[in-house]
Amino acid sequence: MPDSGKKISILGAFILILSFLLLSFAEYRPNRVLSGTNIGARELFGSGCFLLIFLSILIIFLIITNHKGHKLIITVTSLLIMGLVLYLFGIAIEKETFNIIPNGRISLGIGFWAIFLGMEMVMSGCFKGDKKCILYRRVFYTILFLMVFVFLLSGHLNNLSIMKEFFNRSNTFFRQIRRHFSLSLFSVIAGLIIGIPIGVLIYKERKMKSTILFLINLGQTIPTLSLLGIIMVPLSLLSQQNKFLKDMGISGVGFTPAFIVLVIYALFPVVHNTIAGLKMIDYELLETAAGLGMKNNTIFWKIQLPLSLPIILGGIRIAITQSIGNTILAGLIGGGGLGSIIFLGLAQAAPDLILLGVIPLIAMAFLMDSVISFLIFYYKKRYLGLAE
Amino acid sequence: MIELKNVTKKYNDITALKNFSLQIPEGILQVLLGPSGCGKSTVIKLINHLIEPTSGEIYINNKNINEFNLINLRRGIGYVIQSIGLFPHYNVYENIVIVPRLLKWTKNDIDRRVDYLLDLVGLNRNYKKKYPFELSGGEGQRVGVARALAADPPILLMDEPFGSVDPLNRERLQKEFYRIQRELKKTVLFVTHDVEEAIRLADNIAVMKPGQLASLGSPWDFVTDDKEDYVKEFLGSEYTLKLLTRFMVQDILVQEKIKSKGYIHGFQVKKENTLSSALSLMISKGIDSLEVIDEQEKIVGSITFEDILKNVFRDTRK
Ligand SMILES: Nc1ncnc2c1ncn2[C@@H]1O[C@H](COP(=O)(O)OP(=O)(O)OP(=O)(O)O)[C@@H](O)[C@H]1O
Ligand SMILES: [Mg+2]
Repeated sequence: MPDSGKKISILGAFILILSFLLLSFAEYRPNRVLSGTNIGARELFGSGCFLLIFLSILIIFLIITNHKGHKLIITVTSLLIMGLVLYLFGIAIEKETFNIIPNGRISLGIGFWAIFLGMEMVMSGCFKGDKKCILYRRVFYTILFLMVFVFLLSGHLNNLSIMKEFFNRSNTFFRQIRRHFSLSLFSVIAGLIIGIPIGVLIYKERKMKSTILFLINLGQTIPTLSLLGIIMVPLSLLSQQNKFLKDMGISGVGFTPAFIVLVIYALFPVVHNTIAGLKMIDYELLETAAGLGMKNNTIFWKIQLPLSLPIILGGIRIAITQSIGNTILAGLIGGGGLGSIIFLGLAQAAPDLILLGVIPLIAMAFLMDSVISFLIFYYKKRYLGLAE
Repeated sequence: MIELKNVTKKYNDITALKNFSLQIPEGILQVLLGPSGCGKSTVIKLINHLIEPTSGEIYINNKNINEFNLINLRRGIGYVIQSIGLFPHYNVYENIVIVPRLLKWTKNDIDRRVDYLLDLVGLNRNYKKKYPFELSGGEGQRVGVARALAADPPILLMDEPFGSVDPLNRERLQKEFYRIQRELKKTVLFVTHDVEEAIRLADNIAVMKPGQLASLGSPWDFVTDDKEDYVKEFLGSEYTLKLLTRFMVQDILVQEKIKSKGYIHGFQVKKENTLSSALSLMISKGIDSLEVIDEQEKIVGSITFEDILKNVFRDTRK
């Protein structure tokens, strides 16, 4: 581990220790509106708190001694800390003290976010400069996500206010997740169907490059919300005048304008990476392909596309994660998705409701990012011999 | 037959070829020899129409290449490119079979051909599944040669095909290629800047200076004194010695001298060794005669230093 990495990791471990000593891990409110009381780790976790502090010190010790295999042990220890926190938290909030008042609510305290920060610092320092850093950290977070998921299912956390928010609207919750996901996914697929040919066209006809790229870049620089507004006006006018469009359910609000905006945003990374991927291919290889008697079509499908695929996939990765984020806006105009939960939370000043929308959003983005990253990694390794 | 007539090629303001003419008769291995940047690759790319001449014409079998179907023209020309140019996402097998697949050969024919080609270029058959990144430069180049030969084209354009093979394997490949060429009699344009390689393989050598032909002839023609200084300098003062690699001991073997023993110093040379290796042996041992043996190590004759002096360049010396 390089020295700079060590410093980051040790700082992260200190943040863990300080969080356990000083910060609140739960906020208890008698009802949804009243401000609550903060409960620290010692009170909440009891003697388990000392075990947590001990494990954090162990991490510092492992970093300093630089023992063989310390990265693995640190990772496991970190996961252990997180698991323990979740477990102790689950047990603590099941205690009767919190159940006396029927409308009482327990939210996650600031300590939770602090240990997330600390953990992230430990991990990033730990794998700094490591070639497979991204892979290891992805595995770490995947396990972490799974752990949280299992605890949620186990019912230990059912007293948590975010879970109460969830149970209040579990029907719409899953529907909105599905809607959010399909809206993001289909907008990216549409972005691909339009964007890849545009990229290829720009690559071939360099003259057109500046004009088209200007337009696409322009779309990118307009803030999402304004673009939405710009799209909504002509769209509602159109659907008012055109019965066919109206019958198809196309109107100035809801799904259609959100979809169009998302597609425009997805275009940018797709077009850019398609051009970059095609440009990156050694000109001599294309000359060879032609010299062997391949037709232009064959060269495109058999040589250019496969060789630029990793870069194009990189564009898809950016497009999908970005699209998952941007889809929140659909919630503003009745397009549904997790945005509708988040904006409801904002309107009601209910942080737990906001969280309920944000957490699946992050998980979704992380999941898609990981899946595509893995595809790129595998493809490069398997077919191009490039290990990253 | 390949023919370039007064071909000029300009890349923007660089004139890569100026009024270049060259004829390669059918079945002839024409070596194009010249320093870096003189336009050798340009000549090759003009022939398979990867680039368009600025002026001048190119004919294949007396037909202007503009009249050929471009795709069919190229599929009938084996092309080995200078930078190897294997496709990184294809394994060795897939790289080799590109043209046969384009020509829709049957799988059986293709498989048999690949085995034959791998044997030919001296690569183990289990290399088929390897990807280019797993190959050394020399191995990659051999795959490149196999790819060019894959569909058995009548014309071969080879741009420094053995450039990154180690000396031992290069010599083996050169010999092997020489043998195949004697047998198959393809029309070959072989680009190199290695004089020895040119001597080993060429029926004809064309020496280039930047953008132009400097001199043309058989390897023997360059022994004479009447070449311009540029050519002499490029070929080097040891050209004649290098040319000895083109001769085998058996070419000047004298039978009757076997009997007069004592004249022989007891050192032996195989009859299919080159004269240059025979000469090396003489010089290193400080002797002027050698026994010649055949494959069964039976003495079949002898050669002397005088034999070499008298016989080798008899015709070209004036
Ligand atoms: N596509 C191109 N654009 C501009 N100039 C070029 C191009 N290709 C070649 N040239 C120039 O034309 C000249 C001849 O190039 P060519 O590749 O034919 O040389 P070469 O004899 O094959 O050299 P080498 O032995 O180094 O391969 C060089 O000066 C080179 O810089
Ligand atoms: Mg060249």
